[in-house]
Amino acid sequence: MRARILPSAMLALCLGLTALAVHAQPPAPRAGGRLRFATQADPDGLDPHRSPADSTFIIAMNIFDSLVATNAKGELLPGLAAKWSIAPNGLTYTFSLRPGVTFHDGRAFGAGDAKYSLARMSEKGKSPHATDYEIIDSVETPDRLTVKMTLKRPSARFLSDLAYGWASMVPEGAGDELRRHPVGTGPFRFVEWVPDSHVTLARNPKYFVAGRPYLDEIVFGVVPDETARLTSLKAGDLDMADRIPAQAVAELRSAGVKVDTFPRNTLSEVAINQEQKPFNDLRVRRALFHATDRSAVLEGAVFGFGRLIGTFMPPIISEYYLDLNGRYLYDPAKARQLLAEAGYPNGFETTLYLPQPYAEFVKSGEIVASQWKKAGVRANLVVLEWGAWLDKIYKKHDYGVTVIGHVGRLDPITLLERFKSKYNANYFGYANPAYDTLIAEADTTHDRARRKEVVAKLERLLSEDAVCVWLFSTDGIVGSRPDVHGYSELPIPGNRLLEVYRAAP
Amino acid sequence: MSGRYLAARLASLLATLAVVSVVTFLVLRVVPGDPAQIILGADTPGDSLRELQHALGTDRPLAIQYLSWVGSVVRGELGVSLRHQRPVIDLIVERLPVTLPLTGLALLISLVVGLPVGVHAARRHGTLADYAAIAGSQIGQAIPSFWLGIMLILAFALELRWLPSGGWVSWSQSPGQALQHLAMPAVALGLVIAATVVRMERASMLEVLQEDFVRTARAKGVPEPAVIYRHTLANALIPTVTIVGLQVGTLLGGAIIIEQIFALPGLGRLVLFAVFNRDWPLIQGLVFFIAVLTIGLNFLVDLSYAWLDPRIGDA
Repeated sequence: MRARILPSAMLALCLGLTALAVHAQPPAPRAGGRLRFATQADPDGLDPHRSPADSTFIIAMNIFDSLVATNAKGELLPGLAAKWSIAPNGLTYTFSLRPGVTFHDGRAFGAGDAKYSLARMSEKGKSPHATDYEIIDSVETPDRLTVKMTLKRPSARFLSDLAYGWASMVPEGAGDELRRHPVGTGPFRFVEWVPDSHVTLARNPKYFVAGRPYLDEIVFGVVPDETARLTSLKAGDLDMADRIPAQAVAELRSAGVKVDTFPRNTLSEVAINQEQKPFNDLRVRRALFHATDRSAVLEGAVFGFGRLIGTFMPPIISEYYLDLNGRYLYDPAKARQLLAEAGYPNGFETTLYLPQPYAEFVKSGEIVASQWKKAGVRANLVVLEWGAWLDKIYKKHDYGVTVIGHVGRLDPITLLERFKSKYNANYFGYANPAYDTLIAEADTTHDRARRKEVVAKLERLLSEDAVCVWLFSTDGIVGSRPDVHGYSELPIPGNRLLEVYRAAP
Repeated sequence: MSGRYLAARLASLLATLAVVSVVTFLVLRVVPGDPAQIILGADTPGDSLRELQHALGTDRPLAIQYLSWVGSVVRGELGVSLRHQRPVIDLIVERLPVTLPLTGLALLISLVVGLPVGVHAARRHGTLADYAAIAGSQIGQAIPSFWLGIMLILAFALELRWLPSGGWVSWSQSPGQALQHLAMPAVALGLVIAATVVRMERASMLEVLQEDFVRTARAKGVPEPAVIYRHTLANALIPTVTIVGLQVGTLLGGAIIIEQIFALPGLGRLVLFAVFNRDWPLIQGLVFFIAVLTIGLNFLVDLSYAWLDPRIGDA
């Protein structure tokens, strides 16, 4: 009897393993097909130089290319520039453009377009990212395929600033009509935009990467309501959606939706205003850290889809990420003791502001507030609508504590300079001369080893000074029909669907 | 209908619009939130704020901003949206092919369902059918349209797969599909209003049925259907017409939520976008437009009283 069971069990095991192997190995890429991708908001225009919004770059990143490209690891790769060299003084950058690239309207891409685009993305009052390119002193075009940029001062982050969607190359002379009729060199060309309904893109058959893209057509459907978005995905009215809420993962999987997770370049934290009492006291800030069970917040707010951070650096920026999670362990008794030392033996009462409609931050805040009670900190929750949050907290610094998240960047300094004492995005009121000096040094240090040391010191300062209660970097959760493959997330705003394909039915 | 009645109604209409525009303008400036800051968000380097405010013109004195908006209304643009950089009227006109049929269909559904049920309940006053109608209308009024919308999606899109769960296909592309996309949202919106129509129509029918002329008609041997439909219903319609006129605001308000749930590119979505982005000229233009629509329709309702009951116009 046993002899007979064994072979059949073996067979079942083999079949099971084969099934697993088939599942783990995506099917071979195939050209053709249409993808309906759900977005949450109508794009804020499709002009990459005139919008800071994610809603723009989710679409525009597929229409345009930049001089420099990046991958899932955040490495800088050739984009429309095939190669580049940096002069030893760190001031002159020479880019050799890729030959034979054409815009969707058939015109050839050349140095004139690059020069025009650089000027257009640096226009103050019009380009939201103009300040990033203030450093460019002059742009020369010695020939049709060469662009020479001279900087006002050396900048180690400059190359990475050319890799974002807002550094897209547009045709020379393109004006305001790019907002509604974008023309780029990217893998997909623009077909139509019906406001608040959808944007349709079609395959660019002349794309400079041979054999890409795979898809014939992408329709970005605008579905603002979360329930409706998930339902459409389950019903098969849409093929793909990102920003899936963590609590929906199990339900979607049981409905036959493929769910994938990707580490994202994001940071969530309890921001603390150190200009306000009692938060100007380091002991109080450290007490808040010890009073927060961050693993429980990660589990409760996003079902564990993410990784804890101990400073303002997401793990996805692997070259610079320091794991400082062990610095402040959850310890309410220690928190109470620190509060007592700071003169608050009975704790204190405060207001914790939470931004709507960001459920992840609101939920995190609710959990944090209940945890703080054990240390004697009574936080009253006030939910602010996003526009009001920006006004009160980000602009006027009129707060004590809030839960919020930020989107990371490719270069560590772009992240870390937020905490410079004289920086208007520093709504934490953190002012530390030592920190400012290190930022200045890292900003101009091209030597990677040396730069890594300086950045590590900055990360440690943000941890030691308990500038915020650092929470976590969340995963991007993407749902799709089972035949959709090839997607990956970039550590910059926007999605590229260059490698996405639909398997044979 | 006298000319003086018409002129008085028109004058009050214009005065209302003027008040609406000033109040909207001032309230928007008091509500916290800066359109330039919202455009930049929390992840854009901070230096750009003042330049953007200047480029948008939101740093100008309030009086100048208001007057420039009034000038734009006179030119027929209703202001220029900060986010879209286009005249507000163009943005509105783009969305009318969604919202007008949606609210029109909803209104139609509310009448087609509400009137017969209301009349029937009044005729069968005190019977089980009457109680069922009252209970039904109370449930209908208590159910929010967004919840009904989600239930409809679950039933007809997810389970039965008869209708699309959301989204939009334009009339020019396929009128049939456009109608399919409007079906569930119109029902969700219409049924809630139908509940109000049932209650109103039932109550006013009951009242009119007590009147002497109805008793006289019955005594004279007028057949019952004629008593109900020719004599009673005609008189019982005035309060219902008033309610329907007032429901225009409810309908447009409901459209804001329903369009969000069904991903319809209509006026409601534009309103939400404008409010969350503090697109002041857009909000103002939209409020002005909706005020004109609501006041205009109620103006027509007023005129219809005079037509339904000539004594009103002469008063």
